[in-house]
Amino acid sequence: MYTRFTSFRELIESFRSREGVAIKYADEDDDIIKEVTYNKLADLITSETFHVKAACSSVEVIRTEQTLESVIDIFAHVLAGCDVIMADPLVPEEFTDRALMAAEAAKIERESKRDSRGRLVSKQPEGELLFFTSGTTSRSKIVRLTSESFCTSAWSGQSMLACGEGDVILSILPLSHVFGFVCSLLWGLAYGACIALGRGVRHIIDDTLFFKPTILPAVPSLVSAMMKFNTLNPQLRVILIGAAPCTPETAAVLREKGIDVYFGYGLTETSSGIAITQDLDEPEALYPCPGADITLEPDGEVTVATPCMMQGYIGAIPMFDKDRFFTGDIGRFDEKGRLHLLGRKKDVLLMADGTKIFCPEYEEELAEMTGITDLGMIMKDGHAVLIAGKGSDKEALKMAVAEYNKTLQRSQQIYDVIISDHELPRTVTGKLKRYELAEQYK
Amino acid sequence: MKKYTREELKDITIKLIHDFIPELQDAELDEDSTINTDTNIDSLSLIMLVTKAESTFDVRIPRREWSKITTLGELLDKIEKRLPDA
Repeated sequence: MYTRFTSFRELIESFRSREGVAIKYADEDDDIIKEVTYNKLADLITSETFHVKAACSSVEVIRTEQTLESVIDIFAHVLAGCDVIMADPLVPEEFTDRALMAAEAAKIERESKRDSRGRLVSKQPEGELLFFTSGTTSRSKIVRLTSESFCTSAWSGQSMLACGEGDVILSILPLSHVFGFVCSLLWGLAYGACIALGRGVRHIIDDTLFFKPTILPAVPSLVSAMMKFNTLNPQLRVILIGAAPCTPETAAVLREKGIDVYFGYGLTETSSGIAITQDLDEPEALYPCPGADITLEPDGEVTVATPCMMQGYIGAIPMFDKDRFFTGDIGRFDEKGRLHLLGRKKDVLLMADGTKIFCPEYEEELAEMTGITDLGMIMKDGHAVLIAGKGSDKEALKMAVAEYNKTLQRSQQIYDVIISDHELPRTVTGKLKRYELAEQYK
Repeated sequence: MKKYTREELKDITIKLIHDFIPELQDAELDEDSTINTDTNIDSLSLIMLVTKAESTFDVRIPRREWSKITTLGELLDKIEKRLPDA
């Protein structure tokens, strides 16, 4: 039913036969909205592609912003055959160094590709997009994704939740994150919606009132802030939540306002969406996207095979087994075959603003501060909570936590300390059974 | 344009924090208070606080400097530096 583009080149060419507005935007301090039609956008990207080709660059770091120039830059570089490292403009300077190292690694990898006879593989027609992902440790990995996998991801999303001409999608999520790139830019452009590029961080809460979107991709904390400051516009019909689930209570309040809330589940490694909610009265029941083959391991870990899969990590071994990606999430299927996420298998807590807590880092730091080693971080009622084994000194732990919290941003702080009646559950090798511990405190 | 003493800047900014972030209504804050960590201001609230402070004092703090704001005093420094006659 919907066109499944196989490359950015094909996608951009399709813009030429469209008449609508592709992108609208405004300066931070300006009330004048400027518009670019699909046809014009195709011209701008094509023109920039020639400039990029002339520069002969093979890998480029683009600090992605919600600007027309940034959008053109991304597509033009990929079309010119240049790999693009998608970097957030607000991250600290040390990130730039890492991004440059990653660029170098990507370049070496690309230039060293050889066929079975040892001959250099000819240059691929389109560049790849390289995204940083936090994965299961606080050390980022760089994920290689193709324009085809992104186009497929946009198509599978469209098959589950359609947008089109007449829709305005507000783009305020970072384009350096896969969810932001796919859901707040590519999806809409692929299927004829108008993308409203946010005016920047100063307007992150009130751009809804300015651009009057019909669709808002967002993370839960952003939606909560918009609810708190009453900036959800009346034209809004859909909120697509990513990064972390929205609470059923929030979804219910939004529904009362006439806004349908969907939750998309996906990973950087899978070019975003692999499942999405469909039943509005059950905002946690996920349906697999077309082509996404989701199964559960005996321990409940969600694995997926999808046509949107990454090419691999740069400088690291992918977590593949027979082309399946092990997500690190624990899930279950209900009687209707819908996926429900139960938590993380790995040592990660996913917070409401989409940030992650890497539990071993917390536990090691607090063990060093207090000398208490039987510690486990879990998620309880939406908060990060520290559980300590039987007999632990609660006062010492509370003091250490207060000190440690000073180094953390709010969403990642430890909310409470609980002393268990037992030693914490562990495997025979002494590894904490975090999921079992969390179950005890549900 | 109105001129502010450091004390006035501090009082107004603390009031902004109290008004804008209800969970901090009762928090005692001084220039050494570490905003965005021990005062429980998360990144979204910090964005909103800086934005509100900018409009209140009619100044503009470059975005690249936002991530360097740790204490209330540092926020006041950045505002004060950009006030007329500073």
